[in-house]
Amino acid sequence: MNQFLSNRVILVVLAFSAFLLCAGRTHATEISGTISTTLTIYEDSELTGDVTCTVVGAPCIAFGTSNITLRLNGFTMTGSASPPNNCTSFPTPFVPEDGITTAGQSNVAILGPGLVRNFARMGILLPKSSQVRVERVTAADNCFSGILVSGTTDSDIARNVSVRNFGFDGTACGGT
Amino acid sequence: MSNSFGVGLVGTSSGNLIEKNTAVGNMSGVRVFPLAGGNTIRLNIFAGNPAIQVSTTFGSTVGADVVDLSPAGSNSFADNRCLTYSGAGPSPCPSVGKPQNGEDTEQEDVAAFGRKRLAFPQARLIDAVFHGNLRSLPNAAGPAGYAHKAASDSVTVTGKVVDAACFMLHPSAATAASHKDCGAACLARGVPLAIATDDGTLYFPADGNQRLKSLLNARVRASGTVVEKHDPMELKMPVGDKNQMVVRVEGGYKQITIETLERIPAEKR
Repeated sequence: MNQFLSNRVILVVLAFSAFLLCAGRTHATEISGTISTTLTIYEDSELTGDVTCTVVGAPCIAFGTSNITLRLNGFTMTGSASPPNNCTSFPTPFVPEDGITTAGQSNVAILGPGLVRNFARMGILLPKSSQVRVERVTAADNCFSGILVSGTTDSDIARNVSVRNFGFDGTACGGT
Repeated sequence: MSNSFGVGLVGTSSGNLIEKNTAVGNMSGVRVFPLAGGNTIRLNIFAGNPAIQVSTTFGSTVGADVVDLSPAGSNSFADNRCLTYSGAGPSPCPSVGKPQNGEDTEQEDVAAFGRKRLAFPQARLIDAVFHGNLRSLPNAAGPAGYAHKAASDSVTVTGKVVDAACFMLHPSAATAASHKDCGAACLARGVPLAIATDDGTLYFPADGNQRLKSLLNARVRASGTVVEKHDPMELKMPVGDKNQMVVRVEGGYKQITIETLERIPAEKR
């Protein structure tokens, strides 16, 4: 019996390690260039140059823990959509190709100035989070919402500019 | 038809502050879904939503500067600049904002403390202490929050729903129109609400803000049992970058377990 338990513990540990590697965990604080798989941040991070996102079917940048800040520092995050082209369809498959997601974390901040544009779904998504601060960010030309607060509480969305965010398949592309 | 908003509040989003944003040329400027409540949307610019090319093609049901699908009064709209509205009303649009005046400074201050929640761990305390001889807190004395004296029979109280901390700091202004933003900001920060009767007595609901949050600044009639709590109570508010104000109520307070609650329409006041 003990042997069996010991083996199971090892398997769990190995599986957990593999998960961390697959999740693309990073401790880097500086972000720039091309992001091709979801970048999950676990500490205060900042853009040090423009970012081009080629992630398919997933967010570009995701918060992996609470109590951290992402600063855009005046740079631009650009997705691969050009509304109404290359948008995810609604209601299906509605794939989460968002620019930035707080991914259920709390006490996090996304601080501009900075531009989040051309994402196939939301520019910035706050799903089931709390105490989020989004300030001075411009969200433009995203296929759905510039900033979507979904099941999130006690957050401040202030001094942002959200413009021309729609154009998914099946509707006209207004505001352009 | 559309899910494309400048800012969207979906699901059970609550207690959020949407402030001083600009949303232009989206399907809707801000769209509040039915279950979202207790959010404050103020001092934003929502214009050109949807773009004129879309509205003339698809009609007004496509979207608007402000689309509020929640029950009337569930969320607070104040001083937004907008032209078109869709919702249960009353319509906050069209509105082109208020002239620049001294209130801007006050609004900046209110907004400032609202945004600095992340600085809380470094907060230092500034205490404002209120003693039980305040008219709003008569005869109180006893253990904090839970211990209580004898419960009375069911009573009916009539008064205005106020945020308790702001009310105690400047009671004379608490029911004025200019106080609305302060109250909404405090509510967004989780400051307890209470029913302030005409004689200044505060009744704190036993079950928190849930039932009163959609009635901030409204006049209500509540029936239920009242008990007197006796220990000091602290109401904490963030102020500025690193400060936190603690309104400390010494001498107790009244707590009401609300059984029935109704808004009193203006014509019945």
